[in-house]
Amino acid sequence: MERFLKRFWWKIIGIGLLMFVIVSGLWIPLYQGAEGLSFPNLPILNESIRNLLFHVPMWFSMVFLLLLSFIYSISYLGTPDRMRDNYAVGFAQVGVLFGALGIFTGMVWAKSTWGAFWTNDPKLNGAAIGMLIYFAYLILRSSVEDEMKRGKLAASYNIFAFIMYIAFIFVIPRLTDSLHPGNGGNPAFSSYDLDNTLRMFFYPATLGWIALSMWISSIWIRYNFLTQEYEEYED
Amino acid sequence: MQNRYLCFMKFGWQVLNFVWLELKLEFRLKYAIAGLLMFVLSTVYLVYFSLEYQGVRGDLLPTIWSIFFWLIVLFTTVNATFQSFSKLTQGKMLLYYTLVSPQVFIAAKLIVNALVSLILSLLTGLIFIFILGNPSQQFGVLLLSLCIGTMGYSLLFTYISAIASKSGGNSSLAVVLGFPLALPLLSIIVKLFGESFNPSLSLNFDNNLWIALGFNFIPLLLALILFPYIWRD
Repeated sequence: MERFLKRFWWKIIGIGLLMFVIVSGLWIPLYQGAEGLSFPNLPILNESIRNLLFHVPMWFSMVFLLLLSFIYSISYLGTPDRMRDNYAVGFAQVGVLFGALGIFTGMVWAKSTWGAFWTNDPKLNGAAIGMLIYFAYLILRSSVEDEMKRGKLAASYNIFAFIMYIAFIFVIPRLTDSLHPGNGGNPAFSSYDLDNTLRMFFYPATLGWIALSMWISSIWIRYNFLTQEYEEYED
Repeated sequence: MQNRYLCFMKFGWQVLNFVWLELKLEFRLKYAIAGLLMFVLSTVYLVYFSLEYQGVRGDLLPTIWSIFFWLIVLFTTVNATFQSFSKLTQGKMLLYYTLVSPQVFIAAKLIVNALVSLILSLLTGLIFIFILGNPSQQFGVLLLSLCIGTMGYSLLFTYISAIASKSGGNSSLAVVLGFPLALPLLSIIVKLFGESFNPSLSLNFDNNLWIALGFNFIPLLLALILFPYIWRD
């Protein structure tokens, strides 16, 4: 993993995919009956359908980074090593950042389609609870001074929280109806708007955003590591 | 196979002994349990007063009843579980290190905390029924969801309190760490609890009951697996 994060090829591919997705996502017209490349033109969504290429991949990247953080926490409990702890916290922090971006892009979208920035929707509640859990994780880390102890406590909380969170995400859509596609009688993506054109852009967007999030976290983790080393050198 | 069975028996026996010891200690230290009882009584009285002087006690909605009830149970559980760890001194911990394995310790703690929280929340419910009236039409459902919800909270907060007390924080850290994780269980338990206010059960009842039991089981399992890693400093 450490060596994979230093490689260049996936960063370049990711950035290429993102440029392709951003340019084409804003440029391709909606379907007007003419021939050629176009996104589906749906009654309520209208132009905002382009947000699919930004909002949804943000969540995928967040869950992906949190999964990586979870895996590093498990491996930290196996062998307590400072670098693994650094990875766990770095991935969690960037995961929270992408969660916040997902919420903001979602709020813009919700305002234009559902008429409000925030609705009582299980997916929104799930996202909010996820953010709260990881803020608590960061607070726990900042409240312990000793490094070994902080690593162990934070890793065990991270494992505990991630499993509870995943269980929650699976359970909550059964409790109430959702406005999101695929829940509570709304048609799922695959049945209406993931036509082949949109799919052609959606999958690259997902890969691109995940690659960008990994790149950001690798830089952030290295920055944190260097800061630590420098502080120890100063002492 | 025989060996494994014996191991299991031994583990169970150790846990039972430890639970007995903990319960004796719990009731010998009268200030701890008395403090929790005081907490319950004064919060319930606070609710009673705030409702009485707004003039809504007579026609209290069942939903308001259940909101107040679950908030009080939540805070009581946090206090009960946190104090079970914070009152352990360094010397006592050293004694426990030499006597029992971490799994036995946490299993006993989980059982004792579940018992204490159950007693406290049943008491809360009793006082609520006395002073605010009984809104339920199916008392069994109310009792069942109360027991499952309280157990789930105490199992969750036992592990969270172990983390919070190890990190040297106070009980507000346990609240910060635990409440986001308690929200899923809360949302299901409130649904189950609310069904007792109706004359008949909804179709989803069984499903929600299993989910709530699942949320009791997950923290139990995770606490048994993860506690050995944080048990020694």
